[in-house]
Amino acid sequence: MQEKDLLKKLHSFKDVKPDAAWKKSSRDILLAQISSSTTGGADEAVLNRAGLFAILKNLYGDSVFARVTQPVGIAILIVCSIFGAGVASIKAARDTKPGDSLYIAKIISEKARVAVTFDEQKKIKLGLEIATNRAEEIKEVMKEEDDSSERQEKISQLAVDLNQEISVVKKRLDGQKKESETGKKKAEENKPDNELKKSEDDGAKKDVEADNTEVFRANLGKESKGMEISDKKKNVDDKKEDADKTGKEDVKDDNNKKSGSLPAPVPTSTEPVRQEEKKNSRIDLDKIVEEARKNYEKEDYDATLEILGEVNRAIDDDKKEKEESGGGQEPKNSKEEKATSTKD
Amino acid sequence: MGKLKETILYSRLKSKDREAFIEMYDLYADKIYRFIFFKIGNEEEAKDLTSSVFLKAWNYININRLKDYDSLKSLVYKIARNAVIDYYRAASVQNNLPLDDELARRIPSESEESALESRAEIFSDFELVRKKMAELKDEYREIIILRFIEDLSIGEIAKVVDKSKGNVRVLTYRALKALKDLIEQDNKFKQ
Repeated sequence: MQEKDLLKKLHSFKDVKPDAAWKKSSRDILLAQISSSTTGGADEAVLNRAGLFAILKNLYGDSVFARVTQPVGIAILIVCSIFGAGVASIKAARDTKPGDSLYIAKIISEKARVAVTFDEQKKIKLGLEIATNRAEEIKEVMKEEDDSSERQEKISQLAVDLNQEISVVKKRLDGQKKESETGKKKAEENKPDNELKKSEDDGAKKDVEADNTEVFRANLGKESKGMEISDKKKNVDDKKEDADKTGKEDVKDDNNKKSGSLPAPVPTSTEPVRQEEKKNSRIDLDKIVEEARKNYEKEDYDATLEILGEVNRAIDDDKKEKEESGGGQEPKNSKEEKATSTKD
Repeated sequence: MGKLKETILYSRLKSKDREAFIEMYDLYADKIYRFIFFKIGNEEEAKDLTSSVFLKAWNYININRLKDYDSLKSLVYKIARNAVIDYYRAASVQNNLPLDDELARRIPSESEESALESRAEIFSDFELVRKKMAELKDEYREIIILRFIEDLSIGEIAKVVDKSKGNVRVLTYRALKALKDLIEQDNKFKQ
């Protein structure tokens, strides 16, 4: 017998079938059995729920779902890594200064943040932050050893930027001021309290103000970093005393302040205002900003920085940490200038 | 039956569609009955087991949440195969098949090709084959039924018997050869 014949014969076994009567009765019995386990209503509901999705899933199986979902997952990963890298580079760019390769990233991120901020208050804060960045950058650049024209260029460019930022903030503050007259009044009511507290604090730390009306002190939040500056530059002399509790700390050398080739920052006349504004910082923001501008014009970037920090603090206490890091740069300068005070 | 149709049927079964159950039954009742009948050789037992297979399939599809579904056909055959194994286990009737008698009785009466049957020579060949089928070992017989009677693909058989495709191919070859050898031996003996 050939294989072909054999297969043919095997195939003919298909004719073996159960009798039709049994088939029908069996079907009915089975149907009755499965019906007892389900109700008609539930049938419909489940059927609707199963829907096309279930059919498709069964039709194409998990492999197709995997094939569809995997690229989606990968795409999400790619997007995440791109944005993640962006965020990481912005973070990395945070402490850059002009000339650094990532400096442009910092500027772009600043601009982007301004573009996506719509709340006026936040915009002001952001503006201050940017201005602070510029001031810090100026300081950084000033610290550089070389004395090239390039460096001068950088500084002057930064100065222009800083001026711009301050103007923007000022403008915004003016606009806001008009809008919130009532809010300001409330703030005004709180003013005496603030002042009282402040002076108490100061009194506890150092009995400066009480003793000497001519001495103005800028407390940067840390006692040791207190800065006391005279309002008359002429009075500064070389005599140095230990800082005592009267707060009459002398200037070691005013010229030490000049760490760069720029003209020495002129801390003088701005200081009284600074002191004042420290007290009122929570209230009269635009005044402070105006002060910052004055400082800027006098190229006293330290003071500008400090004031910007004050404003920032006033606007948002949560930002304290950042301001301290901003203020943390002050000691370097204050170490140099130690303290300027009037000679009595 | 196309894969698409089968898949839609499976989905309908999954959502407890009774109409789908009837469709499944009509589609596979004959095949499953035949498969079981050739394996156990008893008509009544085959009928009972066939009924139980469809009930099991219904419950399995509705309760089972595993995603191992691939083909409704394979699934039903697999359930049938397991039912037969269970049957053997319970009755301890392995290798005690009264296949010959049953087949001799069934095939002539049910065959549509009565003309074929009427020809004595061919009919004797036909009988010979089914006799030798009964002599084959269980594993081979199963493969012969699925591959050459039920026309399942190698892939489908692999799923039913839980073996790799390559394994099934080898088994198919050996099973067919074994059957052929048995028939040849018989022919030689006759001569």
